[in-house]
Amino acid sequence: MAITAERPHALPESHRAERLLEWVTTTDHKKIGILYMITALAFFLAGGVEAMLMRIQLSVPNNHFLSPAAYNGMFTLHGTTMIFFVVVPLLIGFINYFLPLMIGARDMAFPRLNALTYWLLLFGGLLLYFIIANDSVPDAGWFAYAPLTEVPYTLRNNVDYWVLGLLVASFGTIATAINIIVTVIKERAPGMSIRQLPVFVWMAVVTAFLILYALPSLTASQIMLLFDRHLGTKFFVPSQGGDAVLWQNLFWWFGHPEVYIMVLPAFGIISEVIPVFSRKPLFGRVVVIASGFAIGFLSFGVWAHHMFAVGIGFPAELAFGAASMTIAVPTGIKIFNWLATMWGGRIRLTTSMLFAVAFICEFTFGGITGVQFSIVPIDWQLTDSYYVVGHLHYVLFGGTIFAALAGLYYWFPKMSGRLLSERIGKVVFWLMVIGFNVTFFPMHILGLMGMARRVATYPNLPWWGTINFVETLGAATMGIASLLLIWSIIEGVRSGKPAGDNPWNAWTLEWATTSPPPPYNFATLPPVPIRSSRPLWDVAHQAQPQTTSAQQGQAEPSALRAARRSTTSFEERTPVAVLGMLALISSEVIFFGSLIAAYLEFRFRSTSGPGPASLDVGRTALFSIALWASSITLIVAERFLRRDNRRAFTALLCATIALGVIFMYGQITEFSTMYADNIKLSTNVFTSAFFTLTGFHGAHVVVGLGLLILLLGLTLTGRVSHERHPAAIQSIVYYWHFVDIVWVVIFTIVYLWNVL
Amino acid sequence: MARRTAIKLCSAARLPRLLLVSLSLLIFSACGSPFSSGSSLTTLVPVSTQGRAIYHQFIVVSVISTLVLFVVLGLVVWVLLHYRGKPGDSEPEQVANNRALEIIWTSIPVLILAGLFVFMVHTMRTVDASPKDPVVITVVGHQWWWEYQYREQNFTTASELHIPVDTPVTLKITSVDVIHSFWVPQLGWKQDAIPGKTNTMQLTVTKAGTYDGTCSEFCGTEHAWMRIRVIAEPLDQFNAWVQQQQQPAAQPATALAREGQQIFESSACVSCHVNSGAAPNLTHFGSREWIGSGVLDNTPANLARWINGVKQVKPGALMPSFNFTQSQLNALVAYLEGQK
Repeated sequence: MAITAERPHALPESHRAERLLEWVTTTDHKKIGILYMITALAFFLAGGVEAMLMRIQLSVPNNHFLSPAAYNGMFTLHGTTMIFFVVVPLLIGFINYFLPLMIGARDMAFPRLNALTYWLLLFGGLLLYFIIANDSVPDAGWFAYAPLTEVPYTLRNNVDYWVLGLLVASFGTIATAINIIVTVIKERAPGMSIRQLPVFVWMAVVTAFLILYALPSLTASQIMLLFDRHLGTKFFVPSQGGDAVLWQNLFWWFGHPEVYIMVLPAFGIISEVIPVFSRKPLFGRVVVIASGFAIGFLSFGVWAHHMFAVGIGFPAELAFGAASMTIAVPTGIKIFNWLATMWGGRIRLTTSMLFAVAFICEFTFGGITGVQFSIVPIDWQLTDSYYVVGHLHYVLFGGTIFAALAGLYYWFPKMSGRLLSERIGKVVFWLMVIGFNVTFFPMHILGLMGMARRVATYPNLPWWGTINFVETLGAATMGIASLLLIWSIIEGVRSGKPAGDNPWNAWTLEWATTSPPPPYNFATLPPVPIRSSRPLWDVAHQAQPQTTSAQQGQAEPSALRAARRSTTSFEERTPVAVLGMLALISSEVIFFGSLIAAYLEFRFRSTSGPGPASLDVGRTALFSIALWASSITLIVAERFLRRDNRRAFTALLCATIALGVIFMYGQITEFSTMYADNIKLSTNVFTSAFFTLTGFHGAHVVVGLGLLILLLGLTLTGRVSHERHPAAIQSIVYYWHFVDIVWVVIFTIVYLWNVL
Repeated sequence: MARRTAIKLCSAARLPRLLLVSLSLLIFSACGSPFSSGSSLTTLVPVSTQGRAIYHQFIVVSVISTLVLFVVLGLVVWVLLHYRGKPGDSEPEQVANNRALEIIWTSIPVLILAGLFVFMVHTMRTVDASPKDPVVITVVGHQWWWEYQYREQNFTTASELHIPVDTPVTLKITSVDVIHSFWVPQLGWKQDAIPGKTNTMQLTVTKAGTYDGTCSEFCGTEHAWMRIRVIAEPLDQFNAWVQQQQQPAAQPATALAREGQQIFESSACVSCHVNSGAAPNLTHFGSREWIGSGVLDNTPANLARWINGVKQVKPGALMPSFNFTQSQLNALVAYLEGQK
């Protein structure tokens, strides 16, 4: 993407090949960011083609353009692609490219992990599409409600590929989240306090936490589905004691935060674009950030608002309805803050700003219909109708995609060194806005007319055909706008006007380096002194008195200093690798939480066959003591290592490993005894949940043992020491303790409970 | 301010005006006419007491929603009209806080939402209230048709759900395979049909008529053709219908129909359509309005087309396409259509 045309001689062939290879081997966050964005764009084309095929099918009543099965495949692929392989990677691409620049860092905290996460995402997406080669498309919808996805109803392996593709991509996304959090904690430029972080960075952090605590629930439920389909477990098979609603609970625990994973970075982009093009600081900056946190926090308490027609009971419906309504407050605050930022400004309506303004309008509309759905009786009437389809597209297209386009026009000059054509940009904008509203606004009317979502065709009822046809025209307009946009991007990369370092006269740190930035980002750190959240503004207005920063809600200097001091000491205490491990562990808690939830669901259910009474509590207690003892030996071992008593360390490490092995011996013999008694994974719902939960814990113990044995080997060969590798050792120790603590919870719930 | 506004209007008014014009054009072109023919907007013409409670809530919420939307859109237009900058402008005053304003725009939404919450509780109580001595009907979702069990009256039917008017009805909704959802917009609300779980839907329909709906939870290949028809009729008509359904179907009257009966009973039809629950019970088939859950109207020609060509009409349906000769087909159609 760099401007290299001025080079005096064409590069020799071998060099060109190397430069291509560099994109495969790169660990530069900027290149990875661009890879994410190009991948998202490619999948956007795929998802767009799917959308157009659907719109053609629906343009007239009783249409046979697509078979019902093909139509079902299209909306499943469209939803899955757009959510997991377009919106999320696009936003992660922006975060990857700009987060390190905005905090004055040279790269992400874990550059190689960063590269890995991109490739996981790409291959996850390819896995999802690979099944097309087998003439079968996932066709159970993007939320894949069981038991439709179970074996009697979906016999082909399309659902398996859907699961595997998302599992692979999810691992990548969780790793990215860890990377984002650690980067912001550890890699900020010297002198940049957390209060001075740009709002985009703040929203990226909230998003990362949402990913960390939402995605494991999807992973757990997908694993249960895969077990159901291939190993004969009964989690979601109601005819054999399973629970169809369990899937929905686990899925929406992930699925609703996912909405905010897709929306919060968009809020971040808007909070950067609007101030710059209004020439004013973001109004109520601290409140905007705090409301982002409030939304993130609340998003975990509203999942059942997707299930009001499921019959979850009056109290639950009231509680989830109220919680969902509450989210409107912080969201509304943000919208008013953006408007107040524009108020009294000198607004420049660049294409970027146009998209930001359109975002406010469309997102407000989508948000308001969202509030309507939080009101339980309205949801009873309108859920699963086209009213929902309209609502969600106003949030995700009019919201997120418009914000991403604002971000693209805003940051393209930084990425490429060239400006996108503003003339074409405005054409793209108007085509997009008109096409968008013509496509999605009438969907609300169709919903009110009683058109259910996900129907492959519909009877020739009054007005249905007309309105659907208009929507198809709107979709075609958006398709044209998208192609024009892509052409404009290609033109911009090849022959756009040179942008200069700071074409918009913006004030965050990414504009304090060249366009595009050099591989090392900044020559000096920090590139400019950081005195507020707008360092470049401060540089430009050095002569002015410091009243502005006081007005920006910056706290009293003493409090600020105190805040900075406390964060500094936190940074000093905790190395990068340990922070990463802690983040991973906190995410694993949700994974085990999901499995435990499934176990609790089925503990009392199985009326016949093996149940909790089949477990030998005393025997397991003995083996559990071995596992917990291993934590103590490890703590003591670490003490000795710190005192450089290598022999004692080695001995205690061996003891730890031995205790872990004893525990695993206990579990393996327990399982084999049960199998000998014909108590198997597939016997009933209880055994399904029991073996899955304890088995996954056992797998974690095995991984922990592997790490401990690796540590032992490296210690014995003298290649690891506390002085040189404190973080690595501490990470392994934390992981082992985590595995032990999880067992305290599992042992209490699964075993101890039976004798109490 | 006024002078600046006047200057700005020339250049700046274009965008918001275009925005407004296109928006209003859109609204009027897309929904002006359907609104006038009110019957199309089925969710806004409720015929049950429960539906009316929900409808009132929806209208109140929609009015508030529209007001909020216009406040925001109005502010957007206002700031775009008044605060446009041009190259060479000096930087504006750097205001970044206003405590009073922030309190206002936090507390007003809180108050509105609190009010809506109270209203919501009230509506939910109305909708969920259990009536005395309702007519209980069990609704069972199948891939891709609805089964209606009148257990107290001791018969089972399919295709159309008959209910009495001005009488409380309780639907017990469940499923035997995957998750479906029972939604008839004019009845006012929906509940999911979930295997292993029974949901309850209270209805008191106050106006006789035929109300169509559809399965609204995606349930597999033929989800689109799992439509619902509810026939609400005065109590005496309903009772007459119940009595007729309780009778065994009339013996075939013609030779052709008798031949059809023989074919029916000696072919694969009986394995699913008689007492198995795997396919609709065809007793009284001749009195039904639909074939294949709404994909075809029940006429002799359509029935013949259905029996030999299911895979063309409703490709995902679990029934196979048969290969009857034309005379066999005529006999079968005569038999089935005679089962009033």
